[in-house]
Amino acid sequence: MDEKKILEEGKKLLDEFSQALKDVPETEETHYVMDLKNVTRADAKGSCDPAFRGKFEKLAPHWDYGYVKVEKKR
Amino acid sequence: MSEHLERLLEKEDKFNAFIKKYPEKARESEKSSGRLAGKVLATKSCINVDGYLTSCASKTLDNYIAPYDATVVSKIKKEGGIILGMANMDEFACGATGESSHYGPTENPAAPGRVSGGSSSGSAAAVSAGYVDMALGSDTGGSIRNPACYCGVVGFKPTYGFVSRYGLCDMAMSLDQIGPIARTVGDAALLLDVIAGHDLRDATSLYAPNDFSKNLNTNLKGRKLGYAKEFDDLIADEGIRKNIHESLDKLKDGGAKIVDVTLPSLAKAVPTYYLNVYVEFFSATRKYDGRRYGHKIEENCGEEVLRRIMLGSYISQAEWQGKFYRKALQARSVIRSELMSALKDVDVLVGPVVPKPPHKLKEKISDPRVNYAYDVFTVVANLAGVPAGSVPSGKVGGIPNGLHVLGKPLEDQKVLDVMAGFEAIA
Repeated sequence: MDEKKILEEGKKLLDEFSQALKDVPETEETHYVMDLKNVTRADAKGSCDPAFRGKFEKLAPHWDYGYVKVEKKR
Repeated sequence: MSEHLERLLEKEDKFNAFIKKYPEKARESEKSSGRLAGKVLATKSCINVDGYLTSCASKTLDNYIAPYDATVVSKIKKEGGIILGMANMDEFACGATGESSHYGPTENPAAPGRVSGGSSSGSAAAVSAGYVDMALGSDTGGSIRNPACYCGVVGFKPTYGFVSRYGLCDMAMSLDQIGPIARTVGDAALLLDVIAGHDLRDATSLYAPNDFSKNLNTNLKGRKLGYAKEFDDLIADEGIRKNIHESLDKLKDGGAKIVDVTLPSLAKAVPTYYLNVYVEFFSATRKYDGRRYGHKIEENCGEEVLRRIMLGSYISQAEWQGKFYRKALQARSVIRSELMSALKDVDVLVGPVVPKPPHKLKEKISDPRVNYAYDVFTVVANLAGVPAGSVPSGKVGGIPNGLHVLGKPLEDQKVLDVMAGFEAIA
């Protein structure tokens, strides 16, 4: 894939989209169609799947001493 | 073990509807009780199913075996539903044709040689081909309704929040919604009964009824159905236009009243949608860094996914936010407000699901605008968070078409009622 070409053609697309919306009046912005609320759980003892950790360990490419091991910097 | 399940397990996947099937797990999970007892389902590959490959149809996650169940999957299992396998889809749900999957495109069982629509391509194809009784899809801009329309089955996107998104690999969080695909409106309503409802694990989820199927009312007499004149302006295919107007006539014959309404900014819906999606998708994909699971997304994804990531990153830079993203958020407010005005004095809106028929599988389309154009009628429901469904309306040139029904927020029952009423007379 030619990343440069994708980006350059994509910028043209963005300009077309921007042009299509140029008449939209200044108004409030809709991020979500509903109000997001803080959710608090009722007091209760937490539960977890005891097998989850093992499944997750299998997914991580590098796992050591109970931690996911990652490169410092690429 | 039921004969029904065995019969379905014997069927060969001729349309590439599945990424992976799990016959043994399906057999083991069979139950004799529950609202979905005996029903065999497919799940879109972006919904986590414990122990199943949840790849989002991408090389990025080709080794990701889900370690937990999404809330919708837990509910289906609890009610006796059998998850047969993971359905094919557009990569990370970025597409409207089903062609961008790392596992190859899905062919349309109802129109061989053509694309199935997308992004829930395999879910719709599996139902259409009779491989499963029902399926889960996800709909960010029409990804349930579009393939349902092209494959000749029923697809329903619930009100935003009616179904928990916990366990869904998000494409654009403010627009995504999980929903059912089935062969009848009754079956789609039954699956919705099971999956709808509040979930503490999803802060946007709402309390929702669980008796849609029981309350289905097919009586169209006295129903006021809005039809926007802008629909006709944007339908690109004469056959589809004729089919939709014939459907309006059938609804009138069934006792409904068609009311003219207007959606002046409908043509702005696609630009609004994609500017929102680029930003949200870029944000959603930051977790695919290859460190805890899977591989780094930018090094493993296809062209459309990379385009959305790159443009989302570009727009997110401070100097462009006002020009692109802020404007798109304002346009979303305008479109939402116009849709609410159009719905104000009617029960629901009816119209086309798609502007054109599905293209042929081997047709190479390099211009993203061509594929984005499929979304013009469906994205409105996501931008406004309203319920919407596609119900078969016959064939156009041998290819299935669908009638789109959109309702007010939380009035999912009314949308399903009109879909069922139309299904009964179509």
